[in-house]
Parts: sequence; structure tokens; C-alpha cells
Amino acid sequence: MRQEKETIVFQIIGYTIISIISVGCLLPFVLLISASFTEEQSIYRYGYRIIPKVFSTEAYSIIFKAPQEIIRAYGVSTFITLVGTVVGLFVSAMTAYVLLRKDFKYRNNFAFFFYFTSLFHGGLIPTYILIVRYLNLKDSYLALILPPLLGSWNILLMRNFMRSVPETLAESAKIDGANDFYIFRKIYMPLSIPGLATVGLFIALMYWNDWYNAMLYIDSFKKYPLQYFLYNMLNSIRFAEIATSQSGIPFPDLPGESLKMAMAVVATGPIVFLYPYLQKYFIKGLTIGAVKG
Amino acid sequence: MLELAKTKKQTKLKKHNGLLKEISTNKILFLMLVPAFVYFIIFKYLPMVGVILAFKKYTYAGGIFGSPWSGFDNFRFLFISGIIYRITRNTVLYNLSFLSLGIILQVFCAVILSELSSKIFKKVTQSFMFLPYFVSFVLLSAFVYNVFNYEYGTMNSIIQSMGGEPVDIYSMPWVWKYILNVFYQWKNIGYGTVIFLAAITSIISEYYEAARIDGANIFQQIRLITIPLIVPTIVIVFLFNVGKILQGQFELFYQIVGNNGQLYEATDIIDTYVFRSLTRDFDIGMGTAVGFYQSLFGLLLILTVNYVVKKVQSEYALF
Amino acid sequence: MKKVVKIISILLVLVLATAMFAACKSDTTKPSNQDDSNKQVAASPSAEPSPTGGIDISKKVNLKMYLVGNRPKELDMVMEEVNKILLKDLNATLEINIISWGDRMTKFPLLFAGGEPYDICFMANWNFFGTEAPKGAFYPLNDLLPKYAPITWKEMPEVAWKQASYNGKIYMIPHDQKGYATHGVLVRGDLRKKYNVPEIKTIEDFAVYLDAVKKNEKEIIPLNEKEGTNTMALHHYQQDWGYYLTADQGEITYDIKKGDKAFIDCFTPEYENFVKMMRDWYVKGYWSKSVLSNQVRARDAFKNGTSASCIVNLSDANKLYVDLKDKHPEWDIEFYDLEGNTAVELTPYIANGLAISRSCQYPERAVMVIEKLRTDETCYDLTMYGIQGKHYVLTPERKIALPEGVTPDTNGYKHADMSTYGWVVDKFKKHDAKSWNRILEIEKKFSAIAITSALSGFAVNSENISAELAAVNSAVKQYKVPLDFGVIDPAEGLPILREQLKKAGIEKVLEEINKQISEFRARQ
Repeated sequence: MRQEKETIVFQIIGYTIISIISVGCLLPFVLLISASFTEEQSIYRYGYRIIPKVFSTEAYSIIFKAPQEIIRAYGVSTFITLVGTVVGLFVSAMTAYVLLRKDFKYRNNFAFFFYFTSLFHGGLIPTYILIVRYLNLKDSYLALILPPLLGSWNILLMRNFMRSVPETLAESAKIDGANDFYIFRKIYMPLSIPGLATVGLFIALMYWNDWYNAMLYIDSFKKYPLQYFLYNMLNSIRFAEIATSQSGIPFPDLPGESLKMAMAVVATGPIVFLYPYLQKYFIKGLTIGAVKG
Repeated sequence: MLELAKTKKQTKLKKHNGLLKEISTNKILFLMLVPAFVYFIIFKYLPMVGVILAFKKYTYAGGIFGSPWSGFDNFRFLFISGIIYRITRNTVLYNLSFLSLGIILQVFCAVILSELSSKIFKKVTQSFMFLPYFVSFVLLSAFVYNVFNYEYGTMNSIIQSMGGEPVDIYSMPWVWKYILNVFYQWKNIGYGTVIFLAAITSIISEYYEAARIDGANIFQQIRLITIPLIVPTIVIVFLFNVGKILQGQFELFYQIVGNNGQLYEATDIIDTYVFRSLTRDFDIGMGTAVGFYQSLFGLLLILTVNYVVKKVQSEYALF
Repeated sequence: MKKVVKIISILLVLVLATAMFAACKSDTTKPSNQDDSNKQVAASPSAEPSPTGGIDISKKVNLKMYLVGNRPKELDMVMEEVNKILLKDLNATLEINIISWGDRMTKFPLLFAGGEPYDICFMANWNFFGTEAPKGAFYPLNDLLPKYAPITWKEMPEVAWKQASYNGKIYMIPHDQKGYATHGVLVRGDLRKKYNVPEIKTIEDFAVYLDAVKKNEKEIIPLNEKEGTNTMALHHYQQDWGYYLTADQGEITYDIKKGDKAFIDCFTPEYENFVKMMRDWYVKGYWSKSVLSNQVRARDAFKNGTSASCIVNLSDANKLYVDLKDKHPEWDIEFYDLEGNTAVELTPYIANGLAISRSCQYPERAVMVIEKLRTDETCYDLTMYGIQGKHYVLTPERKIALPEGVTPDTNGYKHADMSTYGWVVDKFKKHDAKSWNRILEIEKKFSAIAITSALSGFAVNSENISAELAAVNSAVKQYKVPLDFGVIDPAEGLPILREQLKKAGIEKVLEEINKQISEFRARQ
């Protein structure tokens, strides 16, 4: 009975706190959606509200007036995210596996080799020159896929998750004559589902949200990913001021608040559902069968 | 003398033999490492050459290699007005608090979430917790201003309706370290919680069964099993970010605080300072110099901390 | 630890090795003169007498041009027409790429430094000309202009070429528009008349208007500014001081009539009076107490009805008028310049123009194409306004109007969406039919008192003072901006500002600028 009481207390505290936090997280997003459905003028007059003061779908009708552009951008983003995530996740996991093997003498040296790159960067210009001049990737999809593909964070994080797989499994497989690649694919990967789901999720989100590489390397607007559209709209103002204040040219038109919000909602799109979909992999006890078997 | 030379040579040979031997014994492992290795060389190490621009005066005719050396000239602007002390201090303190509070909060949430029973509740709340990730700070800044502005802001409306005096929060520097922390945690809580949740779900459930049989209640299980077993994860999250202690968070500060001179003493970090100074006359050398400073500082720090961790528990170390 | 040191040294060796390797391969931008094989191929005997008068155009060339702005939806359609003409007359085609406003500060430097091949780009004194021309980013045009752009060469005022030069070499082809460097105030006539505020001639008159709005309109902020450049502008233009010499806040400025040397605004008694006035305005609540964190500009707030006024330049005023005339005719928008009748500075010709990349393979053709755009009215109209009948129609007074059924939102090729003003030519320029007469009337007034200051076209070369400039920039944003908006009491804030500026090295900056100014003037 005592045990039950503690659990109940825990559950009560737990549910309350998590509810408060998740509502706090939800709030701005609700404001975002609400603003996207609000009439432009009423945002200026009444500010942002949870429920639109004056409902309007004007922003969305503007956006979808030329739906081809948006649909194409969706396609580009989806393609890049899929390819990048699959390849990136696999290579990251594979590399992580090598790094966790205690019998690999140089594992720490290589770990440092990878980690070092998250500290030092050459800067934008050398990277740009490399990609545009030497690799000749300007205006190609590879310029969107390759630069973010691998990162030391994902590799090291993956290594951390994979470490929870008991070493005895690898040892017994080795005795049975399996090579490392086999062990990686058939033993470690299936047993690291939560880790794979996590890192996979992170990689996917990173690709989906990336507009920076598009800004740098993509010229043809047919290849614009979704976030780049949005970024363009939101950032036009920032630097035009200095320019136009004394050159006598008229200031460019800016999109309204409601339109910006609607763009953000559209650009976020389906990726919001990726996490709930992956949630099933975050259940305790996934590794239960492994040791027994 | 000869003896010494001979032993030195022998040790050197041994080392080389060691690498070759290692490659032949672990052929497959090395092969598995090749894709990432090649990728990093090309995409990370090759551009790193540009770091030398921190010490050069860049011209187009010269390019990266032909431009003349300029010593520490590019670093001067950080030291004029003694700014560097302030922005370093702010950056370090903010990042430390973000990191530490973040870890505590996220572990807390992850632990709770792993133990709650309702699947639907977990799914829904976790999705909510991830939403901030999708609201960029640019958009957020509009909401924030809406709340905090003096005349029409929501905060002051509420205060006034309760009979209080409106607050000019944009002129109160001391309050912003809390505000910025709240926003940082808000943005990252979903992301961070997932990491620890994944670590928790990797714990073999037999441990819990054994504990339950021994009569441990839920708090004890958490204290004795869950937390200790996710310590490695906590450590690498901490270590990884320690190296980046002088980097990042530009958008958070720039969008939420704005270009508000009154608050700089309390909210200026390296990236916002550099942005302000270099926006009009973008100077490659100076920009790279700052980056170099941030990287070097982080490197020294992480080498120290990693070394310490290694002494305590070698497998927890980052490298 | 030893292992780590070993790894670092191996890495450094690796990095240096790759550096060496890359150095051998690295293309430091070669001047395109080296590529002789493409030039001057002997004209084939069967060539017809070309409109280019003997200049060889036998090789078809595609030129890449970078402009700033928004991409017009029907750009491809328009460029198809343009290229038909260019192909026929010059055996060349023009391909336009757009860099959006938000990307400008990142992408232009990359364009110059990244060594990516392009031919022509939009250039301006506010868009990197001052910093990039000395670095050698552009192709020198002195020899090419007389031969390949004779009309432009002849018709452009001498002073414009001077402005577009650096060290005697011309690096840019400016537009020939006369612009007036000034800002005025745009107010709500309905409110002004409602509260019996007289017409506005000075800053003090403007304050009367703001006060009336503050006292009587609870929902509207009189001047809903954000930190930026505009209130300062009023201060400068009233003094007949130039606005833009370095950084954004005009802290180093010059007298436009004398044009002899620069001085620091913040140390003058005029500035002291100005910030006292701004403090007064802040306390009275003419703008939000949270002005420094506000992200919405006054002109946008004005458009949305949350500001009763805004400070804008002439073309902005015109644009706002055109936008609001139909939406809110009841607002009765009025514009007042606060210049008085003393002097107005002409904006430099290099406020907009075009430059040719130093690594352009066909600079002659590029110059010819630019000449074509500037001298062939059909090409000009196409690139400026779009396809006649589809994107615009000409009224009997030769003004631009929208065709039946086309609104500004649906127009596939809005004029000035992208920076075509780089090649505006006065004699071809057509005014918008809806242009505000008020602006035209003010421009007429200005043309009588306009002067080209002796410093027109001067741009600061920041090489020797880059560290100090950065520090000054930062100090200005932190200590000056709050004073400019009255957020800090000048009794405390002004001494601090002055001290901080000194610490940042502003005196060294001033010395260097004045040195460059005397060199510049000696060269005139």
C-alpha cells in the first residue's frame, strides 16, 4: 500500500507540472495560428490574442493564390529531408559504433577529430568558396544536402545511446564469426531504436528548418525549400533601412503581420507530426527481449 | 647517446607499427569510419584553413593565401573600450545558466514523462513541448513586444487592471537574465527532454523489476536506477556544450532584446556585439578573429574539463 | 593529454598540407585580360554592317547580373522580350539574379569575396561601393566607356564620374537622377485640422502637432518610432548638415555648404539642444517608452493607423501617399519638409548604379549592354516598367498607370520591385500618374536651393580605422541611441556618451576621415 501512495503522489505532481509546462509551450504557437487567421488591421489595433478578434482567412488566400510555388517548395524540402535524414542517420550511427568499440585503440583520437570541428570553423567565406568554386555545387540540391549531413553532435550523441547495448552481445556474435559491420547492422541498430529515433528526429528537423544553405547556394527559385520562402519574407526589413534612408529610393513593401504568421504555419507544416509519430519508439522496455535471447 | 636514439627510433617504429597493426586487425572498423572521415576532411577541415584570415588583411587580389599578414590587428576592436571583459562574462554566464538549468529541467521532465501512465497524455504534452522549436525567435519577438511594451503591452494591462503601476521592463537590465533564461528553456525543452527520455528508455527494464521486488518505491527507483544510468548522457550533453561556451544564441538575444542600448550591460553577448560592430562595414578579418577567440577559449576549456572527467570515469569523457 | 597534443599536431599538419595543396589550385581572381583567345576574333567577311559600328560581337555572350530586391513574378516574360533585342543588336543575353533585401549584407560580400563568376551587379555608395572599390572588386571602366558607351559617357555629368571613381579609376556607372538628401514629416491632415494645429515648418511646429495628438487621441501614438535613423535625420537636415558619412547615426558629419571638413556631431551644442528636446518628447510620451525594443517602423505604424506621423524621405512619402490615398482618403495625408530655405544636398549620383566584376570575361559587351539599357528607350521601358499593355499603360501625359483590371498586388512586374533604379535615366524617366503633386512641388522648390556639396561622393576608406570604427559603432548604439530617443536623461547620458566615444577612438577616426577628405578635395 505504501508503494502505491508514493506512486500516486508522484503521478499527481508529475501530471501537474508537465501540464503547466506544455501549456506554456503551446501558448505562443496558439498565438501564431490565431494571428494567421486574424484580420490584419485588428492585429495592429488589438494585438495578438488567443482567439482572433476579427477572423479572416485573407493571409492564407494570398499565400495559396500561387500554390504551385508552395507545393514545389514543400516537395523540395521533403526530398531533401528524407534523403539527408536517411543517409545522415546511417553514417552517423555507423561512425558512432566504431567510436564506442573499446577494442578500437584510436577511438578517442577520432572522437576528438570529430569534436574539434564543432569548436573551430573557417568561417563563411572559405566554406562558400569550397562549395561554389571547388565542388561546383552552386544551385544544386547537393548544396542543400551535403553541408549539414554529418555533425559531431549527432555522432557523439548516437555513440552515447548505443553504449547501452550490452557488450556481451557483440562478443558472442564475434565468437560466432560475425564481422563488425554485421554486428552493427544486425545487433546494435535494432537495439538502439530510441537513439536512432532521437538522432533521426534531430537530423530531420534540422533539414526541414534550414534556410541558410538555400540562401547561400540556391539561385533558381524552383529549388527554394519552404523555410527559405518564409525567411525571405520575414527578413527583408532588417537591412533595407540603412540603405534606403539616404539614397532617396522608396522603401520596399513589407508583408503584413498576419501574412507572416500564416507563412510560418504553412512552412512548419507536417513536420509537427513527425514527433508524435516517432513517440512510440520512446517507450521503456524496448531492450527487454535482447538480453534474455 | 646512441642507445637513446635507438630506443627513440624503436618507439617511433612501434607507434607506426601500432597504427598499421590496428588497421589490419580492425580493417572493417576503419572502413566503416571512412565515409565520415572523408566527409569531415572535405566539409569541415578544408574550410578551416580560413581561420588564418583572423591574422590577415583580406584583399581580393590576394585571396585567402595571398593576403598580407596583419598580426593581431583584427583583434583590436575587441579590446578598445575594454568591451571584451563584459561580453565574455555575459556570454559565459548566460551559457552556463542555460546549460545547467536546461539539463536539470529536461532531466526532470524526462524522468516524470517516463513514469506517467497515460500514453495519450504523454504523446500530447510531448508534442506541445516540441512546438516552441518551430516558432522562430523572429516571430516570437513580435509576441514578446506585444506583452512587454509599456503603453499597450499585455503585462502592463494586467498590472494596471489589478491596480498597480505600469512597469517599463525595457529599462530594467537586472530582470533580463531571468527573462532570457525562460525563453531559452522554453525553446529547448522539447529537444532536450527527448534526449534524456531516449536515454531512459534504453535502460534495461530488468533493473526496475529487480528493484520493485526488493521493495523500492518510485522515488527510490528514480534515485537509484534512472538517474545514475543517464549520467553518461548528462555528462556528454554538458561536455559538448562546454566547448561552445562562447558561441551561439544570437537570435535569442537579438530578437527578444532588440537593439536596446539600455540593456546591453546585462544582455550583450559576443555574437550581438560583433553583429553591431560589423554590420555596416563587414570585415572578414575581424569577423574571423572573433570566431577564433571563441573557438580557442572553448578549446582550452573543454580540454581541461574533459581531462578532469577522464580521470574520474574514463568512459564518460568526450574523447 | 599527450595523445591530444599529438592529434592536434597531426591535424595542424593536415590543415597546412591541404592549405598548400589548395594554394596551388586556388584561383586568385585573374584579371580577365589574360584570356585573349576570346576577344577580337576576326570579323567574318559576310558580316553585315553592324549597329555597333565595327565592334566585334561575333561571339554570343550571356551576361549575369545581380540586383537587389524582390523578384517580379513575370520577370522571365519581360526578360525574354529584352533579350530578343539584345540578341539582335548585341549578340548578347542578360540573365538577372535577385538578392533579396534580407540577404544583401551576406550575399554581396560573398559575391565579391567568393570569386563566383558574375558580370554586372547593382552598386551604390550605400551598397558596398566605398568598401569594395578600394579592394579591387570591380573592373576599371576608363578606357571602355568612351568606346563602348559613348552616349552615356558624354551625357553623364563630370561630377558623377568623379564620384564613381577611386584613385582615378572609374568603377561604376551611376544613374543620373537628381535626388534630394532630406527627410520630412508625414502627418494626418485630419487630426491636424481637428486640433487646430498650424502648418508645420520647423521641428518645433511638429512638436505642437505631436502634443495635440498625445493629449487628444488615446489610441494612437503620435510618432511611433523604433530605433533607426529618422529622428536624427531631422536634426541634421535642419542644420544643413550632411547625414551619412560613417556608421548609421550620423555622429560624424559635415556642413554641406562648406564641405570642408568633418566634425563630431555629439560634441556640438546643437546636439545638446537636440537631445534635450528629445528627452522632453520622450517624457511627454510622443513615442513609446519601449521605443528601443520596438520592431515596427513608424512608417508602417502610420500605414496601420497606430502612429499619427512618420519621418520619411521624398520617395517614401510619395509611395505612402499612393498606397493610402484610396484606402484612407479621410486621413488627408500631408507632408512637410523641414528644410527651410537654406540648402539641400543633392544625393550623390552614385546613390544607385551598376558595376562590372573585376573577373568579368566580356567587359566590353557588358558595357555595351548597359549602354543599350540606358539609351534605347524600348529596352529602358521594358526593364523599368515591364511590357506595355500588360504591366503598365502610358497616359496621354506620358505617365505610368496600371492597365484595366490590374492592381498593384496582381501586377506581375512592379516598377522598382528590383533595383532597376541602377540605370535610371532622367530623360526617359516617366512619373507615376498617381504621383503626389505635393512631392513634385517640393522637389521643384528644392531644385532651386539644391547644391552638390564638395564632399559629394566621398566615401570613407575604413582600412586604417576598422577597429576603432567597430568600437565606435558599438558605443553609438549603446550610448547615443538612447539619448536620441530621450530614454536617458541627457544631463547624465551625454557626458557618458562623449567619454565612451573618446574611449572607442572616435578622435582617431575623425582625424583619419579628415585626412582622407583633404586628399579627396585635392584630387577634385
